[in-house]
Amino acid sequence: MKQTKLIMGMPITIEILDQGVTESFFKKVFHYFRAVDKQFSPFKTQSEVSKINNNTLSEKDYSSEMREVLAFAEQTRRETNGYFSVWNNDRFDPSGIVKGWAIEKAAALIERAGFINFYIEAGGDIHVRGRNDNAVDWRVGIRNPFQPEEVVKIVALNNHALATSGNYLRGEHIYNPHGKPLEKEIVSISVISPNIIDADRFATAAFAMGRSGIYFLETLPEVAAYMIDITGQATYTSKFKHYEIS
Amino acid sequence: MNKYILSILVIGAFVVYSWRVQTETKKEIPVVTTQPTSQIKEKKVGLYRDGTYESDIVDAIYGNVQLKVTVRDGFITEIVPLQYPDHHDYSREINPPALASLAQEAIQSQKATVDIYSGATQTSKAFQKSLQSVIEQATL
Repeated sequence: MKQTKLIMGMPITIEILDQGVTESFFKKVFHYFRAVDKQFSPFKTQSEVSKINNNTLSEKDYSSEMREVLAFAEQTRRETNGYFSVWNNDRFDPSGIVKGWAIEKAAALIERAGFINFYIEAGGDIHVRGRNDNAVDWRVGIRNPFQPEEVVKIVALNNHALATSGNYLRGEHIYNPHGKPLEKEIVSISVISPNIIDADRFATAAFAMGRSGIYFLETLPEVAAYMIDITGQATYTSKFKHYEIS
Repeated sequence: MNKYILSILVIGAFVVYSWRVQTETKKEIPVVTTQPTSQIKEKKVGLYRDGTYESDIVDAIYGNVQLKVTVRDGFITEIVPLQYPDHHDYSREINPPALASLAQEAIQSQKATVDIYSGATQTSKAFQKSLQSVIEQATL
């Protein structure tokens, strides 16, 4: 069974192949994403994020979810030499962590229900588990950033996640936290990692690093990446070929 | 009266149409699929900064080892000895093939850790150290 809903301003698709999955279970998972949106949306005035921005919530009253997201954000800031930040011009916006984190939690919800062959895809990020309906690893395409209806690469994933960062997707939502203007040479960076939180946060940080982002990704254990630059040239890391099908 | 109804219907149809067009063109990236539909140029990420490097001069007991290393497109493509122990017949005999073989191995692995070449232990160790000094300079 497969369903798509528009939540957090992006289409979220969930496909579960295992027997016994019900319509109401899908509702439950989508409900989780709506709850995350309600709590973390910077556009909803009553969200916890908005309350932090309006100084109407003190640190001791942060929810446990907010503390978890902030801990990931701080860990990422350190691991990326400051290239990842949830602060932009004094505005708090943890979206760079929240999407991956929410997908990870939703996947755990699906696994706890006993399902093993599924994927969750949300605005450029995909988290797969198990195998597809041909009983092989899931085949996931990387799109051509210049022609989004074209797929330039197929990777095989089983218990992995793929996240793509690029300003072409949804406007310029990535910035260089060091205050310099973002280099325009890189168009998209796709990152494969065993978990979606890492794939998502490292893709975002590497994109902000510009040209050197791919070298940063090369140094990470358990991470493979595929970068496409403005001239249409792709550069991949050593571990990428391990996942590539065609 | 019919004109009003007609225009409302026309406008309504247009609104519904444009809303549908908007939702349909929303791209989902990535995509679960089986075949690529186009190709792009691609290359493996380079590990090192392009250039020609001279290594540290390393003592190999029977003489010194120094290497000239070329990095092109991020990869070590050539390793040429600038000097090596060559004061004795034995050194002159064993070291050139040993160094050629060590260079080949290092170009393959793109690393300084090479096997110790039998009969040229000191040269092998000095080769490692001297290549390591280049890798430290060239690492991005």
